[in-house]
Amino acid sequence: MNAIEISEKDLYSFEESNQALQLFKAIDPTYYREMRSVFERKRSFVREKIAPLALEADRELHRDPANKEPFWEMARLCAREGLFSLTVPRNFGGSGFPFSLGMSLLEEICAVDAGAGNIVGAHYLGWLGLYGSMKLRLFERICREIVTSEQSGKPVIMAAALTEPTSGSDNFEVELMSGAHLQSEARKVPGGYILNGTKCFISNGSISTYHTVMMPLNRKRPVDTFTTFLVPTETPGFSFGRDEHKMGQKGCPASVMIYEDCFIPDEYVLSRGDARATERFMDFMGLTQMGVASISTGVARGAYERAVTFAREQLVRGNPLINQQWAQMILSQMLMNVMSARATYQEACFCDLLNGTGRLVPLRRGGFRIKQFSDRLMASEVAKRWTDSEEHLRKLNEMMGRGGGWKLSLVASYGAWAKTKCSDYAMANASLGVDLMGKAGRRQDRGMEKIFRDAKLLQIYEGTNEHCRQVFFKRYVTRKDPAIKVYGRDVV
Amino acid sequence: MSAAQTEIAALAREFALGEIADSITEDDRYPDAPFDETLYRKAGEVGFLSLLMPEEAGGAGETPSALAEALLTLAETDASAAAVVLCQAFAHRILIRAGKGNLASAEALTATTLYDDPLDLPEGLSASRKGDSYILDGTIDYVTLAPVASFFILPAVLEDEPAIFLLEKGDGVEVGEPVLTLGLRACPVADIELDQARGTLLASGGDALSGYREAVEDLRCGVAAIHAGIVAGCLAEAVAYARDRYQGWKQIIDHGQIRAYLGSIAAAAAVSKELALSAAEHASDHANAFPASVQLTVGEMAVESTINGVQVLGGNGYMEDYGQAKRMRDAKQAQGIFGPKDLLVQDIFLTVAEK
Repeated sequence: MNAIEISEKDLYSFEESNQALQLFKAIDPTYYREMRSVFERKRSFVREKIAPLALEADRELHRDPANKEPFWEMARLCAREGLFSLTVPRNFGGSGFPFSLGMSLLEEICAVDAGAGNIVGAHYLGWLGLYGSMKLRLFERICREIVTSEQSGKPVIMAAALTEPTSGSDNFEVELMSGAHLQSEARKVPGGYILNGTKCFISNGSISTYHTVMMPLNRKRPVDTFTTFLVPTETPGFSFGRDEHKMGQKGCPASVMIYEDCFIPDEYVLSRGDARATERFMDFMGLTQMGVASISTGVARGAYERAVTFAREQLVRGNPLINQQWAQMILSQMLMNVMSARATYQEACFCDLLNGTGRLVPLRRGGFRIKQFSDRLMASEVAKRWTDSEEHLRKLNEMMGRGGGWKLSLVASYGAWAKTKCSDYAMANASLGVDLMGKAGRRQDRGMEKIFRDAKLLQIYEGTNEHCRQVFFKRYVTRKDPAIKVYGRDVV
Repeated sequence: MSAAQTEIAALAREFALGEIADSITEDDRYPDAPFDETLYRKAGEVGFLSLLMPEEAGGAGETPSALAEALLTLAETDASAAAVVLCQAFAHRILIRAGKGNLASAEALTATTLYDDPLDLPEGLSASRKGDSYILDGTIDYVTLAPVASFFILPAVLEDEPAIFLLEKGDGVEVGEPVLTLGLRACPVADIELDQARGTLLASGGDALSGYREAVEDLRCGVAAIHAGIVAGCLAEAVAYARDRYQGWKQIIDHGQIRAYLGSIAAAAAVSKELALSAAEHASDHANAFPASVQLTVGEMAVESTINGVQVLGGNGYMEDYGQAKRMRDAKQAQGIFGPKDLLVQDIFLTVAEK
C-alpha cells in the first residue's frame, strides 16, 4: 500500500483560509508579503522533501527505537532549508522573521509530519530561552553557529529541559511548583554552578548541541530560585539517557537528560529567578503553547487532507465515498475543525503581537521594518557590552517582575486556550479520519494511523490540557475576581 | 452468570496473568518481534481457540455469552490476545452458519476478513470451478491472522455472485509482509495474493451473504466485550497511577479533574461490561439491532475512556512502557472490526426503521 498522495485542490489556500491575515495585510504589507513568500517556499519543501521521509522514519523507529539516523536525516533536511535560523536576526546571519510567522510554518510542516514540526518547534523552544536572556554576545555566538551549521552535515539544534520524572505540568505554574516533587537542583560555586538531577521527555534532547535547562537553586524554594542555564551537551557531567518509547511523533526524539555534578560557568546563566520573575516566566509559556496550537492545526489539517483524498478514491457499497451525505458531513466537520483551530491560534498570535513579545514588531505600517532595525541594534558592541554585565541579569529580573502585568497574563491565557482547543481539534480530526477510512485508516502505510498516534501528544506536552484549562481560568477569570481561589483543596 | 461462564472467566484470568501478562510489550512490537506461537498453542490446548466449535467437531460448543466472558477477561490484560480468539471464533461461526462446522480446526488458526463491512465484502478475488474444486485468483487486503494462519476464509466473486471459500495455506496463497497496524498488533494482519489457489466453497449467492452477516451479528457482542475489557484495564492502571503520582502538593487522585476522568472511566467500565454481556445473551436476535447498537456504543465509550486514560498518566501515558498508549490504540483498532462505525450507524437506523 502506498501513502496517500494529496491532491493540489485539497491543499489549504493561503488567501482563502487566512481572512484575519488578509486584514493584517492593510496594516503591515511588508509583514504580510514576507509571510506569504515563506509560506510558498516552505510548502513545496515540505511536500517534496519531508513527506516522502515521514512515514518511512516512523516505520523505522518502530522497528528500532534506538536508531538515531531518522532524526538526523529529518534534521539535516530542515537545516538545509534554513528552518533553524528563521527567527535569528539578519545581522547574525538568520532570516530575521518574527515568531508569529513561525507559527504558520509549523502548521505547514505538521500537515505532513508532526515529528518534523516538533524538531523545529522544540529547537525554537530552546532558542527562546537564550533569546529571552538578552545576553547578546552569547546569543550572537550561538546564532552564528546555528546559521553556519545549517549547511553542514550536523546542524546545531537546541532543546529546552524542564520536565522531570516526578514532576511535569506542576513546573508550569508557581502555585504548583512550590509543592512539585522536583529532584534537580543547581548549586552556586566559584565561577559558576554545579547541576544535578534528571530531566525527561525532552524533545530534540539527544540530537541537540545546546539546551536550556531550568532548575531551582533550592528545591524547597523553587519559585524563588528558579534559574535557567545554557548547557552545551559536551559539558563534562552531562549525559543523555535513553530516548523514550513514544506512541507517536516518533520522528522527534524525546530524551532523558542526566546532570551529575555538571559545572556550568556564570556566563551561561540565562535567567536567575525570583518569585515575580518566575511568575512572568510562566506567562511566557503562553507563547510556546501557541506553537503547540499551530502544530495541532497542522495535524488536524493533515487528517482532513488525507481523509478527503481517500474519500474521492474509495467506493463504499458501490458508490464513491465522497458522494455520501454522511461522509460529506464528517469531512465538513473536519475542515471546520481546521478552520476553527487556525482562527484560534492566529487570534492568540495577534494577542501576543499586541501584548507580548510581538510588541517588538509594532502593529502598524512599517512595523516589520522597525523589527529589523531593533535587530540591528542588538548587534551593536555597546549593547553586547552592557548585556555581558551582572547588572544586566538583575535588571532583566526586575523587568520580568514588572513585565507587562496583566498584558502578559492575557497572552498566557490566550496561549493556554489556543493550545487546548487546537489539540482537541487535532485529536478529534485524527479520530474522525481513522473512522472514515476504516481498515485503511488502521494501517501505518496509509498515514492516518500515524496521525492518530501523533495527535494524542498534543494534548499532553507543554502543559497538559487540564493544566492549560486551569491556567486559563486563573489568568482570564480570576484576574477579574481575585477572591476566587485556584489550586485549592476541592470539597469533594 | 452461569457456572460455565464463571469457570471460563476464571480460566481466562488465570491464562491472561500466567501466560500473557509478562510478554505484552514484546508481543505488541509485532511485526518487528515474532508472533508468540507458543502462547496460541497453549491457548488452543486450554480451549480458547475452539469455544464456539460444536462439541461433535472437537470444540467446546459454548455460547456467545461464554465467549464474551473470555474475551472481556483476556482483553483486560491484552486485547490482542482477545482479538485472536475473536477472529478464530468468527471463522468457526462462518463455518457453522454455512453448515460446515465439521471443517473447523481446534488448534490451527484461521484467517478472516475481520475488518470488512459485511454488506460490502471485498471483490478482489475471483473464483472459477475446475472439476470438483474451485480455483481462486486476485488480491485481498487486510486479512486478519493471515501471516500465521493455516486456513483462510475469504470472500470471492463466483460467476458474478458473492461466495465464501475455505482455503488451506500452501500453493497459490501468497501472504504479503505483515501490516503494521494501529493497535491489536499481536493479532497479525496481511494482504494476500492468490494465484490459482484451490478452495472449498462454503456458500454462494444470497446464502453466502446472509450466513456471513449472521456470523457477524452473532459476534458483535465479542467486539463489545473486548472494548469492555480494555476499559476495565484502563481504569485499573489509571487509578493505580493516580494514587502513586503527585502534582503540586497533593496526589493527582485528589485533583478534582482527575477524579472526573476516573469517574467517567469507571462508569464506562461498569456500563460497557453489562452491555457487552447483555448483547451476548441476545447474540442471535439480530432483528432489533441490539448487538450492533452495543458494539457501536461500547466502542465509543472505550475510545473516549482510553484517550482519557492516557491523559490521566500525562507524559507517561503516552509512553509505550505503560499500558495506556497500547489500550488507546487497541480500542481505536477494535472499533474498526466488522467495518467502519459510520456505516454501522446507518445500518442500525435502517434496521430500526424496518422494524
